[in-house]
Amino acid sequence: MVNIENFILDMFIYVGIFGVLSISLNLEYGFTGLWNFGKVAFYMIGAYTSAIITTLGQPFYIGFAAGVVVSSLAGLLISLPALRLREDYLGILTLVFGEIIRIILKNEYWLGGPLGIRGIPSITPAGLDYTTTLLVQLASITVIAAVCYLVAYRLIHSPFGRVIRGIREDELATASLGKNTFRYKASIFAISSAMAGIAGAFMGQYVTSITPDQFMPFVSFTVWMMVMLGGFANIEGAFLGAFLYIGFERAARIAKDYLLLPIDPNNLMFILTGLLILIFVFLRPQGLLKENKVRDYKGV
Amino acid sequence: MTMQRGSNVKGIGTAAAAGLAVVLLIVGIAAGYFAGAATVAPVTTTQTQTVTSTKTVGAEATITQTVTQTVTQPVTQTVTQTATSTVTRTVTATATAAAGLPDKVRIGVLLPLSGELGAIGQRMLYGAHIAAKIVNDSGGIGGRPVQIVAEDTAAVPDKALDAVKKLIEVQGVQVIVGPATSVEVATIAKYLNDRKVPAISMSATAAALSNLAKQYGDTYFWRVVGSDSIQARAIADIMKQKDFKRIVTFVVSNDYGIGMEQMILAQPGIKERHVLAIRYDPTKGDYRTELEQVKAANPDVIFYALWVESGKIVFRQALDLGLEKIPTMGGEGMADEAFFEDPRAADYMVKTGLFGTRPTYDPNTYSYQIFYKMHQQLYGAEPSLFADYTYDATMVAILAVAHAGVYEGAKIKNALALTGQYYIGATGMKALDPATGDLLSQDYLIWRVELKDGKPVYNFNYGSWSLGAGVVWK
Repeated sequence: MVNIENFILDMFIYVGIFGVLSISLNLEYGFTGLWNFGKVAFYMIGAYTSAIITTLGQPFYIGFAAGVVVSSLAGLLISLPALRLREDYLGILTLVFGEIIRIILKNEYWLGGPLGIRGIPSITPAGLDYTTTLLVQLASITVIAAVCYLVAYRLIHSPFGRVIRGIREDELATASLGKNTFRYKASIFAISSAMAGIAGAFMGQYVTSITPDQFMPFVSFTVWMMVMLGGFANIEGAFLGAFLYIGFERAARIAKDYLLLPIDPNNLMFILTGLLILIFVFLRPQGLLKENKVRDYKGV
Repeated sequence: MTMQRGSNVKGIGTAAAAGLAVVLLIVGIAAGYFAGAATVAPVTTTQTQTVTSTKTVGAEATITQTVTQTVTQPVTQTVTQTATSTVTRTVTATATAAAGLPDKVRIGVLLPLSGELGAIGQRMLYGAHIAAKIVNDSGGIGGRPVQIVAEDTAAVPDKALDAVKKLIEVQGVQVIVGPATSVEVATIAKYLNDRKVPAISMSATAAALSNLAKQYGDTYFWRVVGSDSIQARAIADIMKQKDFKRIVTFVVSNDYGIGMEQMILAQPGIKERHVLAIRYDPTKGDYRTELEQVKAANPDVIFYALWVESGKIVFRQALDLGLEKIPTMGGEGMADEAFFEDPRAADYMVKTGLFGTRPTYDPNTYSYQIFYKMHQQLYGAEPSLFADYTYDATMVAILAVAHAGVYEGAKIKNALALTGQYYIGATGMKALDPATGDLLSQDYLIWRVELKDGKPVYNFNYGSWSLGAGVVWK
């Protein structure tokens, strides 16, 4: 009756989903220095767009593509007014943007209302046993994550990557070199929102149901914690951070049954996560993996 | 500008990370295997306990039933068993029923034990423990003790999904009590169907959840609490009986308020009488604009579904605008004495004769008293909101395992409808619809705000409503 392998496969699927979200935040904050506290908004837009389209009978790839395009456009649109703000105001605006989208979805019954959308078609064919289904899902998210990784890798090791790092270090200096920093920032916002969108579209078909309450601001902060753990401006670190956070969460859930503690075991996870973040902030603020030096292009 | 090739300086990070990762995985896997160590043990014939307990429990009708029901389990096995032991026939029959059960019968419980609803969830869990204790004190299910395995969902859908996966995959749980909120149910319903494990909720009332069976072909979601659609029917019946012709709904803009409004409008004969729908923002703090609209619509009744803090302001301002001549109604959330904290709000409620519905059951039944006394004895406090329904959900889960005779989700689910038919719970009859998993009937009382010795009070004896009898005024 016990199928621990299912639990572990499921965990790695979530590591994939959150790994993609972490890469996306890393491109914005780690490499460009943009404060985005509303990552969940683009995750949500991707999930809802794809869910609506696939429940109308379209195949999943059209849903996924639409999720990516709509999220990316949303990212671009929000960036137009937002990027003119100072970094802390950008953080506030993105946070509020996520909440606005969530509250609209909760109140619009034609978009599912508070109970959201159920019966989203899954990419796995029906009739497979549960473990095989999980393996197919894991393979799919691995492909998606690999594509996002390669896109991010190419970006940061290109002239484009050097400009966005320049913006992070000193925007004024970069602008003085004749770079249109606004255009670079808007592009990075659109690209990373597209990644968040595909993560959302994938999650929707995996769980097969989405509700507005799955997209609370806490999700954005979870991604921030993953990036803090894994390392800022390091795309391998994005996956490491996601793995550590989710593994930690699940291990704590299991471990609490075997520990006799003077505290309520349900709060164990919160205490340990808080402690871990504090340790990192004090002892290793750059995260586990450091930023790599820009690759050399000698001979290219 | 030149750069050095291959200078990936990662420092100690990588090694530390790899180490941590391995440790995490080992902990997880080891814990998982320990958790799943409970295997189906061969049948032993030390089942005398069960029989004696049937007598000691005596009037506890439900337990007695379990035993008699399980007698009808496979006959062939009974024969082989009696051959190897000297125990009397009735006892072996019970033992056969338990043959398919593990040493410990795990009942998974999903409740918000932390977060916003943490305080109430902790006390709802008492209900589950009471049910397990009552059954275990009388010998468990055919001698196998019941064990409650609770997981925290924080009332957040993602956490509920994590928690239910942990219960089913890591601990092999085959029947679940909970989750508490409708949103969590909507999120985990497909997974329950995939894994064929039934969940019995004590407090998820959203009407839309009745469609899960239609959507997924089968439903593993059941509930021992009435769907909101039954309450909406009660309210619509009352509105029609009072012959209100110009109805205004005034609800808080969230799933509770909007859900209530939508359900009432969906009842036959209400839409034609409905003239205005107001959904208000509970954080706004001023509702004169909305109330002016109400006044202009010239209604003969206002139906309110409000939250307390903003509701007090609505009532106060309604009085200021001279709306006290229009009769008012309300849903279950409106029967809350906290409204009386504002004397002008209370004045408005009394003047308009605010009345409404609330789910009810008879607390004088024997079933309720068993629960109540045990609660007093174990926790020394009055049962809190939904602890009684959690108790009933757990009892239904335990009895369904006994009926099924095996610890297997699909069979336990099939036994649920039969279990519900015979079980009289602390909160009333628990007849369940096998097609939707819904509770078939729920009674409502009709309350009214009145003046008693110059003070506003709720009169909970104003009337009643049930599916069979309809509206009855007292």
